[in-house]
Amino acid sequence: MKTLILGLGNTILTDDGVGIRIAQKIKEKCKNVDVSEASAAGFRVIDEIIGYDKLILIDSIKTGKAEPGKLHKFTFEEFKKTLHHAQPHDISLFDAFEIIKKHGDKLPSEIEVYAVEVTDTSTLSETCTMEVEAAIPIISQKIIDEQSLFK
Amino acid sequence: MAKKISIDPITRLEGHGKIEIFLDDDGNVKNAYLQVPELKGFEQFCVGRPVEELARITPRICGVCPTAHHMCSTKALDAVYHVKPTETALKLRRLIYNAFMAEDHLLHFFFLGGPDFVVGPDAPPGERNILGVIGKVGIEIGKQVIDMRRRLRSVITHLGGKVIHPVCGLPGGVSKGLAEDQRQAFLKVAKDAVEFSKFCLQVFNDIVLKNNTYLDLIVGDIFKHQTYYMGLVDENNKVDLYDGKIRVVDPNGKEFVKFEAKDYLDHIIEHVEPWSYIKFPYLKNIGWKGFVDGIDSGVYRVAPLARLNASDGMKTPLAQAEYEKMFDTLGGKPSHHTLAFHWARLIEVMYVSEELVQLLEDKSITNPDIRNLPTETPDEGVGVIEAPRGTLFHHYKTDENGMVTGVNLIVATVNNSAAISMSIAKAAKNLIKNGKVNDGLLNMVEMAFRPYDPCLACATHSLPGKMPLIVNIRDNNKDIVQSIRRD
Repeated sequence: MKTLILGLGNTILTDDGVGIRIAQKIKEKCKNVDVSEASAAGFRVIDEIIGYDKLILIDSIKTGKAEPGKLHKFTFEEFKKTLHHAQPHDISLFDAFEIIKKHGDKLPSEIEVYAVEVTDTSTLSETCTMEVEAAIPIISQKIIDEQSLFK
Repeated sequence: MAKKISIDPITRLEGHGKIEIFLDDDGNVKNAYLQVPELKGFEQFCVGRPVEELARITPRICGVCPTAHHMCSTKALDAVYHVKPTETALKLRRLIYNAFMAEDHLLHFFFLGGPDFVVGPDAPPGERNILGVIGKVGIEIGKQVIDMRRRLRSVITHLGGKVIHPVCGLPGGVSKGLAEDQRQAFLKVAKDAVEFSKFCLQVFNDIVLKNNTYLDLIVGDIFKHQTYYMGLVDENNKVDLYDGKIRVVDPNGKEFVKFEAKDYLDHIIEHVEPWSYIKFPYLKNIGWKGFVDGIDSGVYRVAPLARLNASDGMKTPLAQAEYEKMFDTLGGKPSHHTLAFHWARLIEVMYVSEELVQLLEDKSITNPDIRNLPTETPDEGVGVIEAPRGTLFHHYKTDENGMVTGVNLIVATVNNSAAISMSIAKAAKNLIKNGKVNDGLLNMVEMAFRPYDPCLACATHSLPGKMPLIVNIRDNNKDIVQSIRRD
């Protein structure tokens, strides 16, 4: 099964870069896995994921209901439902996904979304806030184990 | 009792913004503004770094137009190092930039602005999205849009290194040349892009211009502002997106000033309001008269329609013909009709596509001289480029070792910030009366700012926990008296 790890975010906006930082960490440890990163959304990243069987998205999230650094996990279906209810007019990655599917391209049949609870996504910094920074090695290892990426 | 309506977040707008509409005691619109979150500490972030890094950092400001930032930054680096790029490097930069402009404009027209136009201003919210657009124009056309964008992006990927954040620009040139087989392959893409541009303009003609409801909206008063217009022009005053002088015309179309990028601070100054982080640039030599239009107000506009207004024409024949048709239809130049930004955007797609063909038909673009090495001591430089959303300035200062000591950017959308607020206020005044607010009216207010394709330079991409469209109407104690929610 061809898998892509896609880190999303912006590495110069404090916690916003956590998804990319984790993806980079995974790449360091697992040379055989395809890892990509993007500081964009929707149609601007969709081309990256064409041709894969499985997609693991890693991003940041602000629910405000969890401690910073906590890892949330969503299935594509439940996340899609949330977003469709929330943003009927936006072009989310998930909308882009639907459109590309209609286009006939091969998209991953299996998608998992990891999101790290964050606090600051508006200060320019290449370092995450303390709790989030501390969580990066732990979360990257957790994803490696959970997804059996060493295989 | 004053009331405030908040529309938050703005749907389909890149970045995270918020519209604030203030009502008076009678429930009529008093003022309306676009609010944006602040990115904190950009200058401090850059100071002390090698200046070359800015060509990689500044594109990160924005997930929407990174190529524009990269190219503008590269031009600023040319200036800082006092080095002129080789002829081949200039051609390659234009090649990348035109491909980017075409794909970005297409994305906006079909996927962001399209739902307003193609689906219809009165269509139910559930259809006002890209799936609605595809439903209207047909799945085959949707596929063509996706294919065309993908092929244009392949040009950027090949030459830029990375499609989302290109890394090819160096002071004095570019990092990678073009091989002959690639030139031939990309020439095919460019020729197809010209054909596709014709098709897009035909779609606009058939769906929008032939529909009197749309045409009335475009030329109506609700979406009209008589402002100054700014854009880059070449030596013949033709639209140029990559280089040239910055030309400003007054609301009557007369040239007000033409200046070089390095002199921008002599002509542009920023007004600050206490309620917004965003700054409001205006023409220094006219002055700030508030959020008003007219020849005495320093408010100016940038982006596609402004560029066409600020020029004497297009450099390529098909785009020129469309330019003439647009101004004929709209009743002359300059055109003050904000919704015509969508039309002008398509004319620019035609122009950049035609120029792509010209660049790629010239075999000298494969020459190996892709860089002049800088030999001067770096100090200070200004770069300017026409980003999809308007004139973009990068201004860097360094010490003699090339370490950054100062940075100033005027990003494209910021130039339009006063005009965007004015457009929202005007639409709101016409469409929200006596406290009556409904979803259709709010759509029209949103239509007022979408032509500008505002990008709020706020590149956070955190997954939204919950982002419904909420309208809160508040009294003067900031208590919510009515809440409208669009899930």
